[in-house]
Amino acid sequence: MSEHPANALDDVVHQRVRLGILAVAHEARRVEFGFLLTTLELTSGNLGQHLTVLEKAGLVAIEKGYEGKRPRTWVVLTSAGQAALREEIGHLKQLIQQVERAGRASRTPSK
Amino acid sequence: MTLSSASSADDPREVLSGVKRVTWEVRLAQRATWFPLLLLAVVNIAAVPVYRFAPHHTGLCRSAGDGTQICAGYIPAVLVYWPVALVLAYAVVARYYLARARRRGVGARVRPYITVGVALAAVLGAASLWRAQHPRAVSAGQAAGAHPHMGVLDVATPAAAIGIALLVLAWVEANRLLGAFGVVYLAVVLVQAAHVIRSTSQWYFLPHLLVPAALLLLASAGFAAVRSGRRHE
Repeated sequence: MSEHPANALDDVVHQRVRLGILAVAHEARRVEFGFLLTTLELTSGNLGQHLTVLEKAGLVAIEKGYEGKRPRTWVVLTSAGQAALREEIGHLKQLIQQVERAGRASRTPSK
Repeated sequence: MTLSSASSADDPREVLSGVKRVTWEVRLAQRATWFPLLLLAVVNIAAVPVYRFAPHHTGLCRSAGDGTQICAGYIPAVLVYWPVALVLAYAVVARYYLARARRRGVGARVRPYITVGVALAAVLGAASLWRAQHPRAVSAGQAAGAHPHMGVLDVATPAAAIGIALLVLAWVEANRLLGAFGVVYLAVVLVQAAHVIRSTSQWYFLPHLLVPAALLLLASAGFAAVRSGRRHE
């Protein structure tokens, strides 16, 4: 019997905020700290903690620099982050299919 | 509902819809669809004086078979104008997208657009040179209408190059509405390219420049209005 897709979910990636960070960084190629704050509606401290987890796992790279005189922090998805995001989305889709199949089976009257 | 406040956090549908929502917000921050449409309309309109006032040259002539001679007429300045203007326009669009996305705190993908744009400009330049050397076989008695001997190079017009570039931009932006407009635009300009214009007017070229320009301007205004509406929601 194959493993249930829920067991394949990676705790580091599956956390909602971290998944959001990865999704935004994937689509944006490079995303600024402030954009993540407003899009994900987080506090700086909260976002910083999640970024540290992702950076330690090697899923994102943090780049610090200046734009004019303003300090900026950019988040870039690593290739491991790309793969992790792809796998997570795949597992979530499998999970949805499995739940839908189970729902259909339970509605089918037994003979 | 935000990604972080989803009530049914473990429902995979909720999680995926949250991912889709933030992806959509990134795309909105990256898109500036009205700008390339407006710029390309301006490029079309700016071509009018080049067609009207630049010196015309007569290219190679060949016999039409009925004793008459068919000569290719061309405007050297036009052969230079389109490739240069289109490459410059694509470069300005790419630079605008990058600067705008950066201001908003995201990156932008412009390389495919620039690569295809430059390739299209090269094909367009080559096709224009070929047409200058190969006059179309239109008999003197043929009425205006569909051209009987259309070739691939005959449809390699500036308007078609703009249409293909718009389709690439739609793909880069994941913008279905722009893709739909690109298809309609291409259909209109290809039908136009397939028609012979019989006119002795010195402004005979105007429909080929102003129809695409009008379509681009209308679309630019439409995309700007949609964007402004979303901002005020």
